[in-house]
Amino acid sequence: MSDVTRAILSSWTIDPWPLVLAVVSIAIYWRGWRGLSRTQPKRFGRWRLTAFIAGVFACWVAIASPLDAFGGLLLQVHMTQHVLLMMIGPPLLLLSYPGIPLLRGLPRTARREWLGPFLAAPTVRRWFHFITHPIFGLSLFIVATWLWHVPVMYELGLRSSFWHEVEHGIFLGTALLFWWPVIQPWPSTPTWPRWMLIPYLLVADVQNTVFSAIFVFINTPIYGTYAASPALFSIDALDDQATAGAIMWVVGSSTFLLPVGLIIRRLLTPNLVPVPTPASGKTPVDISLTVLGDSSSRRPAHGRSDLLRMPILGPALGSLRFRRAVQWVMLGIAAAIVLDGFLGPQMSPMNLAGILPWTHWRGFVVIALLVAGNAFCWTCPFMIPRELGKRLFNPTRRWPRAIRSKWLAASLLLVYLWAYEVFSLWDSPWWTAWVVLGYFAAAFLVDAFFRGAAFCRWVCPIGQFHFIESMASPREVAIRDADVCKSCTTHDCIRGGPGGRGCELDLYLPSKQGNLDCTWCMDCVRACPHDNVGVLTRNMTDDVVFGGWRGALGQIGSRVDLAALATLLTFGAFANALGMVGPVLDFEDGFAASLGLASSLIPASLVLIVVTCLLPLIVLPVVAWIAMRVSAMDIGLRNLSCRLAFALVPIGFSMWVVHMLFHFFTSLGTIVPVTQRVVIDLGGNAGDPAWILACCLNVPDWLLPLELLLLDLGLVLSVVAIHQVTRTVTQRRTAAAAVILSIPAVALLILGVWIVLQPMQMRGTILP
Amino acid sequence: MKRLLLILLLATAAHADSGLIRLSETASPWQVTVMTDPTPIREGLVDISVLIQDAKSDAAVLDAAVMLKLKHAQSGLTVSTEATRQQAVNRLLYAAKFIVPAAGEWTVETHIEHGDDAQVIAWSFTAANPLPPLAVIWPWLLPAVLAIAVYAANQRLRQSRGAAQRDQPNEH
Repeated sequence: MSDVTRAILSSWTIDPWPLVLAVVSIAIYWRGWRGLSRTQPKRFGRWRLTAFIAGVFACWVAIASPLDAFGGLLLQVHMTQHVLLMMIGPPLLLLSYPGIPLLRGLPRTARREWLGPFLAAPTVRRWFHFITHPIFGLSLFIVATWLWHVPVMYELGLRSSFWHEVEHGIFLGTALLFWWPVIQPWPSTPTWPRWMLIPYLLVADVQNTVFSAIFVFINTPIYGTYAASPALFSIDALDDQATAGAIMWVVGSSTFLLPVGLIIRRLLTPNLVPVPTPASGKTPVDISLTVLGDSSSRRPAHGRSDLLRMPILGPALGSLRFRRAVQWVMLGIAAAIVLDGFLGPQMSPMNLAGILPWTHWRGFVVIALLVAGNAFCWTCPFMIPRELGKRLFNPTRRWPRAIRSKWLAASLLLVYLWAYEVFSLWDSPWWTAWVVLGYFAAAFLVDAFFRGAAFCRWVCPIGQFHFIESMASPREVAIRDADVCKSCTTHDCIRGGPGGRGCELDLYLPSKQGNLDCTWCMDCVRACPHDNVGVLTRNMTDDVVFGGWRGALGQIGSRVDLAALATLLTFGAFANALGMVGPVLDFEDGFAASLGLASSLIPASLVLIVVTCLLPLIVLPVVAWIAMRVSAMDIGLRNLSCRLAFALVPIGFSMWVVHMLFHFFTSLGTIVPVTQRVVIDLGGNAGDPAWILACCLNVPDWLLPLELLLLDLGLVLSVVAIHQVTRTVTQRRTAAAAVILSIPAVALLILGVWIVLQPMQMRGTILP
Repeated sequence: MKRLLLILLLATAAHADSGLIRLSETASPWQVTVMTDPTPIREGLVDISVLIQDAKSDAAVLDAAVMLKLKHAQSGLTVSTEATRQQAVNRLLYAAKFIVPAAGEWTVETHIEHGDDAQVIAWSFTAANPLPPLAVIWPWLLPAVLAIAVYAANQRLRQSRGAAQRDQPNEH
């Protein structure tokens, strides 16, 4: 292979977003197709799946392959790109009958509760009927083709990546509408008789012929860009233009005339395949969508994905031995952190204590919270000293009633956030080692004195973080079938039994909802003799909306201590991120200087207290009071403020994820040289530490868009939760009340966007 | 430094090489074409790519050394960067993605070396002021607005559907 050929073949534009979209859409289609191919094997044969994958692949190749890289230099390559987007990809996609498989591939809640009302709405059906009408599709296809090839528009696409993407989107969209009546994907029914598609396709072919002929026969270059382009591969601009026209002509005519031939053949041999007949009357075709159904807030377990039913992962997650093994590994890592923190170099990016807990571990746990749930507590190494304390002292005392709330944990969390900020714990391996040691000692002492999981439930600040943030996670430990629990007489899930001990946190599975106070220890899974506990998917807003009775947790909507904890973590997410952006650090330094202070300890403390305590203490009740004035609510001010605090958890969680992932992705490589350094310090041979991996890496292009999308997700979940809470407490002016209650969520989003646009301290890296 | 970091964060506009053809001229023994992205060039991240072809055969030259030396007319500020094929999406080109630190007039010297041959091609461009951050990031905030709008429509449809069902006479 020549160097030039190799260079051409390696010219791929691997943009992560189209790739993610392609993979996700194929996964959704496959999920839906799998079920349909069992119930309707003739209609949904394997070739439908192949057609969908080929269609997606054709579209992806058009925008990611060397076609895209060379499209700006050669018109014929650019035209090939358009052919793929208009004449190859869309027919393949429609041949796969994508509608129902894509719907069925979505989670049940998404298709029933989110899409269901739209699919069933007469207005939407009428509108869909209108846009898939052949006259509309043909007109739009022709207008889009000609309009985007007018020199001014075409040059706009060549010069601006944004308009280029718009152009491609319009080509793909209009082509899907054009090919719709030709393919007529199931379960739609045709508007026109089949023979009418012959003139339909011939009109498209005639316009394509005229269009192509202009490119082939005109004697001057149509587009200035290609006229000025170098003669790549010795192809001059006119030859290039003529070839582009020929490609459109040949491929276009072939794709238009092939279905004409097939339609004629089918019409002439009516017994060959039944010809679909047009729907009668003017009303839209009534598509019976079996995917629609009733919605209910408490969904049955069937249809919900269960992590414990998955191969390999499920048995591993439910296995006590495997969990213990992981905890011992984590304990080993914690020991390494402590030793390196005390004995290693006191420069955080060069020390295990400076990077592992603050960069890598926090990154992994927020990813786990986002995609599953509270994985940290499952792997928690502090469980080992806890168990040791219990075995040595066999405690019988109950946690004192006076402090049987989250106030102690919330106070410890506030102290932790404050110490983190003002003492820069992340930048001190020595302090980090002490914190880890102190944690082990506290876990041992508390559980040596008190029975149950007293440390986890009432003390552990990290555990509280995971309890609260996992309220917005997509999975929960829950019962699979409520009827099984009704007939259960032993209640081993809480009392314990032959299968193992029951829940240490007093969570009784039949009344448990959500992830609050659940350590994902899986004790209940092993204890249940009916194998009726799973790790199930749920709506990400269920937990923050439900304010009712939750067994040991009580009436959650009126638990001020829990609401305070949730608020502290939500506003703490923003305070913590503010503490490392340039303008805030400058403000703190300037404030300290104006007061004649040697350090910014007081200003930093003030920022933290104002943002995490004072601000929510004023804003939440005020907003709740205004909402109550607008809408007559069947709830007190205190309870509404509590419910609002829970509903804001998703936006706070999104800020934690954004913040942690920023450090994770900008400092990921640091682990390599630090591990090399540790091995060398221990007398081993690991080569020269690759410190370049700990410094000077660019922030990836995709990180800011990802951060903004995560903040979007947090806002949407919070707004939805606020609306659902509002609906449960008032019937009057619900929308107005929800808008007022959403103001803090929107304000937090704006603050979050401002934060991610600021220069952030590159913690965990060595600055050049 | 802070300003550069912010610009880096907002750099998604300059996403690939090629773009607008700035010049295409013969500089013996080569035909040299220079392209820039984005259009217009703004203070911030810029992509400059260079195609070097043999002037006689049009064959792409793939093992040259290309340096870009930029000078800001107003402040005298200079920026030097190497353009390489590794940085280019189109691997026939030599590309450099770098920060233009100020708006205004910039002159560029494109130094090309290949074997015993060397050429310097001078050209210039005007960098406009950077776009405000919101003008760059709005496409990434739009999904939240759309999702909330869709949710509102969903709730309205459910409400009207529920009302319609309640209004229906009970046949039993």
